[in-house]
Amino acid sequence: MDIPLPEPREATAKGEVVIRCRGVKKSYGEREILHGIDLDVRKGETLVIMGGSGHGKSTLLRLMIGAEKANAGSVELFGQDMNVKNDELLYPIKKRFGVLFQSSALYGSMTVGENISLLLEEHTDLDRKIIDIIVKLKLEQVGLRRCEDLMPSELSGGMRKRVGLARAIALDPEIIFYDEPGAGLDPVVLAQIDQLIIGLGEKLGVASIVVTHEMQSAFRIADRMVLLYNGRIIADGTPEEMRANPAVEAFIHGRSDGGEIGARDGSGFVEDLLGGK
Amino acid sequence: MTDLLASVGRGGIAIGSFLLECAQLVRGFLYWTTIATFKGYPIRFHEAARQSVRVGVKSIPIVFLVNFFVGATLAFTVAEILNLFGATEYTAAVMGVGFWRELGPLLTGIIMAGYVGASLAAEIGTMKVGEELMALEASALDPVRFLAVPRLLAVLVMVPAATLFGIIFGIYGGYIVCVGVLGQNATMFWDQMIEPMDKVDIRLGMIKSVIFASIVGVTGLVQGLRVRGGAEGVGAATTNAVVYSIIFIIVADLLVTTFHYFS
Repeated sequence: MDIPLPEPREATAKGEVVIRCRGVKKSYGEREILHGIDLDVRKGETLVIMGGSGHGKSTLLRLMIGAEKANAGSVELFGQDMNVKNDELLYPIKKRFGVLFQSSALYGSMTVGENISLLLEEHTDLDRKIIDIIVKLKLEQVGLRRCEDLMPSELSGGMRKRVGLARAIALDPEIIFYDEPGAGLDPVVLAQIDQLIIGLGEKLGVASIVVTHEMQSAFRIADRMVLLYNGRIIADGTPEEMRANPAVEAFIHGRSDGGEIGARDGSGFVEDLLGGK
Repeated sequence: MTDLLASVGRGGIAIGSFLLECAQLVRGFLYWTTIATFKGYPIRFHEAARQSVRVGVKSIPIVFLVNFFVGATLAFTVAEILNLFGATEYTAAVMGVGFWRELGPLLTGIIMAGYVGASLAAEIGTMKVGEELMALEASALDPVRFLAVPRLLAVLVMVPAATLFGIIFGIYGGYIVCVGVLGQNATMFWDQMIEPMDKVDIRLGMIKSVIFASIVGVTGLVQGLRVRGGAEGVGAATTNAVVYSIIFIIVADLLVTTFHYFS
């Protein structure tokens, strides 16, 4: 299926480019997930990456944070190629971004306070008292108070996300990555998390990259959106531009009649079913 | 025949890739405990101490139970055979040499494979499934330095320590049987036990315990780190950690004993 690809688009915000992807390809065995992604993200911009399951959103995010390596092309954060073999070279870069994982990924054997203070202990020379104050401040920023001594297992899904967010901003990052921040949350808590994402972007001036397929949430928080389909960016624009895009509209409404995004090749099913006979 | 060869080939590749991952973990362990400490990445000794309590102190009851009962059972068996030759008093000698050289390290190693190896694989595997390892990496914290080094240090210290206790408990089980049940003289038991033993027996037992500790620690950690999928993957890793550890311990035991015999 040939899908007309948009030209790589200049980011809407005016800040410097903090993430630059060029011709990024990623395969698992024979299966190519990303087929050449070109994408720039600028400082202060909130970019939402949308797309269905299995179309490469989370893979692209993992390449950006250096958790996986691209098979071809380049992913640069602050000008540093993330595709290097020696992870130690990426440590200075990794200290400049935070990640909120889909499952929150809180360290289960540590208290809430320890989850946040760990990064400060490991990456700064701050005094213990200062670290304790920063932990309280970060928790306050995400709307939590007096829960430093709780264990992650004692928290609700929404609270875990908030703690994960407090940990992500512990080192005052310049970029925050969000992997499905709304997964498993009810609409009220999701709206609160969205407000936090918007607030952190505005107050801290960070670039936010949000991977999601929660459409309401995406339009609420985005400055700019891209739609991934079969490992390619097939739409890129502001929320207003995206609403007018037929492919995005089909995706939003979950329609199977909305052009190439909903089209499905059903030929050959009988042969598959009967083992090629 | 082709199927058999193919499955043997697949098994060989699986073992090969597992051993390669073990070698990578050992390399990482050596790097983070030596070179990296000069680069400003200190060893997390407080975490190693916390793990030592979990690995060592909490395993003492099971180490006691198994070694004590096997010691007592062995004493009955050996005494019965030696009685045929009128040499029952040498039971203590067999107990001493047997437990120092062989049974103490082997039994404790196998107990630790089940107790510690399985727990390491399950813990690290669950962390991997829950994206905690990725979260560490994304925060510029190496999982080997952060998780594997403290745990491996704890295992390397506490398994030999538990082995020492195991040997003492095993011999004590034999002592209870020989003196309390078979009516041997207590002083003679200790004299007979110590007489045939030399430093080689103690050294061999301790060398084995360090080797078995390495096997249990590295196997458990690697199985945890290579978990794929969800709960099913964690379950498989836990089983593999125990099975692989026991097999490697038995093979290593034979190799060390054979090497000692011919050296």
